[in-house]
Amino acid sequence: MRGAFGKFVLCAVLLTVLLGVTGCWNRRELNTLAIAVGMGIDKRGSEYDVSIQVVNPQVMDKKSGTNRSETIQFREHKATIFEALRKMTTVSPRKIYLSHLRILVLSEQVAREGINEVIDFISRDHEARTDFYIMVARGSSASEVLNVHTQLDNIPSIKVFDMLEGSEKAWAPTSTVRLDELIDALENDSGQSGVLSGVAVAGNKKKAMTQENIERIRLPGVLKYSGLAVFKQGKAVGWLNEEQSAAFKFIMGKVKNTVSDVPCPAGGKLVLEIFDTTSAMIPKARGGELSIALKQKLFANIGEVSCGIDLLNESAIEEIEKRMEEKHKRQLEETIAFVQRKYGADIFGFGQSIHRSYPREWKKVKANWSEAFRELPVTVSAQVTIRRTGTINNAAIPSS
Amino acid sequence: MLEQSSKSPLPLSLKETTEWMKQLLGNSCDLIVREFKLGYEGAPRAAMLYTDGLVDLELVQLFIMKPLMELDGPPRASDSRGPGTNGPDGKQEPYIRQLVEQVLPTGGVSEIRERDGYVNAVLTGYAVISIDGYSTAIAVELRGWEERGVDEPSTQTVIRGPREGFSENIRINTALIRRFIKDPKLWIESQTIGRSTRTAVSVAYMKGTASEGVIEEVRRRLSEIDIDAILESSYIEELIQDDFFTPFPTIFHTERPDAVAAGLLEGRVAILIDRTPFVLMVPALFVQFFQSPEDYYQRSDIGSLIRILRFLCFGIAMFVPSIYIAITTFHQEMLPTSLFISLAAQREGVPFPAFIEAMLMEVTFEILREAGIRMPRSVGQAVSIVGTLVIGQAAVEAGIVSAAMVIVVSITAISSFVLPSFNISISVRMLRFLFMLLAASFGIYGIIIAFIALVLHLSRLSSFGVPYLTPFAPLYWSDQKDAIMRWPIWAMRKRPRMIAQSNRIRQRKGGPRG
Repeated sequence: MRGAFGKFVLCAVLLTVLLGVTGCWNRRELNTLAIAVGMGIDKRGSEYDVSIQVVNPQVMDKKSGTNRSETIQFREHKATIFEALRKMTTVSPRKIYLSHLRILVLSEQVAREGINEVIDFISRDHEARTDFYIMVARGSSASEVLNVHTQLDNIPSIKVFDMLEGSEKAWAPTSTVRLDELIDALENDSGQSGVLSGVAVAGNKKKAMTQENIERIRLPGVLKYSGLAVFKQGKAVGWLNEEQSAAFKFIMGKVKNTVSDVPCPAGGKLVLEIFDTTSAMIPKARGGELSIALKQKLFANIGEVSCGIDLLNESAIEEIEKRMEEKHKRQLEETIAFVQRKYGADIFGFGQSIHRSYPREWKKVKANWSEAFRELPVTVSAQVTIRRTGTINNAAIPSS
Repeated sequence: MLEQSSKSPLPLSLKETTEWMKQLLGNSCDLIVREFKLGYEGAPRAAMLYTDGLVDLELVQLFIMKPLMELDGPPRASDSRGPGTNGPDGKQEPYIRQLVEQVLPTGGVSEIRERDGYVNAVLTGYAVISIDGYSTAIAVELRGWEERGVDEPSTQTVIRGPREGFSENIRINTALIRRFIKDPKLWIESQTIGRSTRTAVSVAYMKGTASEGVIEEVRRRLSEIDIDAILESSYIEELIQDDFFTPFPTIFHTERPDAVAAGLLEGRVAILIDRTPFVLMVPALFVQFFQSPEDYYQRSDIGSLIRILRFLCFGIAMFVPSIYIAITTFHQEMLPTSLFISLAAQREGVPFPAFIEAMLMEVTFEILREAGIRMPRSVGQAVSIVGTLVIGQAAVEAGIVSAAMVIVVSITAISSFVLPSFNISISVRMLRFLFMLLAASFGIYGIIIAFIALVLHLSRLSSFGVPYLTPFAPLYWSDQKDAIMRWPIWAMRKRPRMIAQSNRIRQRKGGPRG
């Protein structure tokens, strides 16, 4: 009996202690939450104009066939983002739940004026995770981006998320940036430089924001990835185009799979599917002169041939490899030169790499890195290996 | 009255004896007194007393009545016995012994001199013969009654393996075990427990393999029982188990002779109880409740996988509803977004919190399960229709519970049926509600705390001196071969360490062939 009583007392004590030690005691039923999947931040005068896209679960429940929208947008403006979000409780019947945020869209204006406040709020808030993609709306407001009706995935934010995720794996120009990656890039020795993906509304902008958009086979307006926004000192300074974006991703060694065309010796084009890349960034400090050597290795298959070439001939393959190497080298060099000249933003992380290998030298250049970066000599070497020619060798029907 | 006359000798007079018995039993209609006269001239009167329905009348007629009534003279005095002692009335007592030795051709015959033994013999199905003028009665064991034969066990069913199950008769049960183990080292001790039921209880073990300490402990605990009735093995189980304040069984029970034989050979002690097909086995370990005899009858690879599946199901049955509650009410950020939205969509319009919803379904399921066991077989279909259609589908359509909750409760229910021992799944059923309550109050934190408490509790338990979590805590590497996994028979060369403390070698040479 003593044992039983002792156990009872122990249980009671444990339960009481339990009550006291729970730090984040927060019980919420699923149907009291407004699940925010997208967040857009615009500027209205000096105030932040925050739009939140929440899922409408009643519509997601397939049984109830309604013509109501799958998502709802709440919008409020206030001097700070947090205030604006809290003010949203005056319009939203449910608590806005940020943990499942998929995309955070910043308007170009917000990006140009500085994203530090936004980053601070979103990383300080305990609810938000860090696995959503952050992007800059190009040519439209963030709110408009969240308003586009989408097909295949009815929730625009999830559609954008999935699109970026899929494209990032198969198309070199597409880069995704998550919150932790962005903070990482802005915080390291780059003078707060980094990139964010750009997203634009392509096609008929007005129709894109109506139900009409999803009633057609050819959507009048779609959300589209469009290049990378370059940040310096936490502010957007300009854009990289498609080619430059691809080069950026190659330099960062993040290309998983992509395609690239090469001019054939006899005219016409040949497409290589690059399925594996390695990228090495080697900082050098010879006689106080800092420089960076980039070594790229590309492994490719031949994916499409639209020129007359004998693929069974080894020297022809070698010729293609050589041309691809040249093209790749040129593309990377041009991009680096462009970024150095035009933006002077160390988005590639050259500074960090020098800091790691040559901390003493880094101390000397640290103060005016942004100037030193502009003058930094970068050499690029590329090595392309063609592994396979696909399921056929020479073209079945030779092009004339 | 029985107590008063318990040790006193039987009366000499036949009339006195029969009257005494009739009075003692309150003229119960099943006490049959058949008076007759021994066959030869001048023989004394006799009476046969028995309980109707407990003796085989045909055999009684053939082996008692016929020889006695056709006796053509007094049995010859056997010289070797000497002159014999004189009875109180001067008649020779060896007369009874001579009858036993020369006239009665049956096996189980004993002489009774005390009233206590007399009553007992009559009530346990002996045919008892009293002869006028002698204070010694003859009890002949010609028991015979309607009985369920050896059937296929209805619990612990197997696909491959013997189909015999224990029956209600302890003698048949010991024989079933003896048929598996023809070894003189299989010792079976017997005793009677229960003042009114006088239930025969046998303790079986392999001498030299079973731990003497455990055997002694079993004897001691059985001898301490002082109760009027033992109706089922559970009476004994509750009276001798180590710890009452635990949801976990610390005594194993089975209906299968092969399981008992295997247990005995490992060094366990079996307790057989008359009138029940369930045999108890100690010491019982936690892992034992996850093992089915079938594990050893199928190949070891599939046996191991199925065992792992059982542990998995144990986890599912115990934790899934509570984890579901915890995640959907506390840790929504843990779910993938699309799953989260889908769950949220299902929860739309459900009026109850997830915990109430889960309790509603769990309790409904428990009601259905209990109804399924208790109701008459003929209405079974009605209940299953009501259960599946009305409760399951209609509750979802009416928006009282979400479809996901029905899935959670169903998988939980089915998982609990996977466990081969019914009593461990009862533990799971009870603990599940505790976990759900803690999950609803404190989220995953509560589940973890309760889980830690559960592990502590389990490691504190023991069964007849053997730690319950053996072979994990204390850890025995060699016993891991037959815990979560079932190694090939050739690899299990030694008996479990905590069970068979001496004589541990099973196979002197072990190893795969070829």
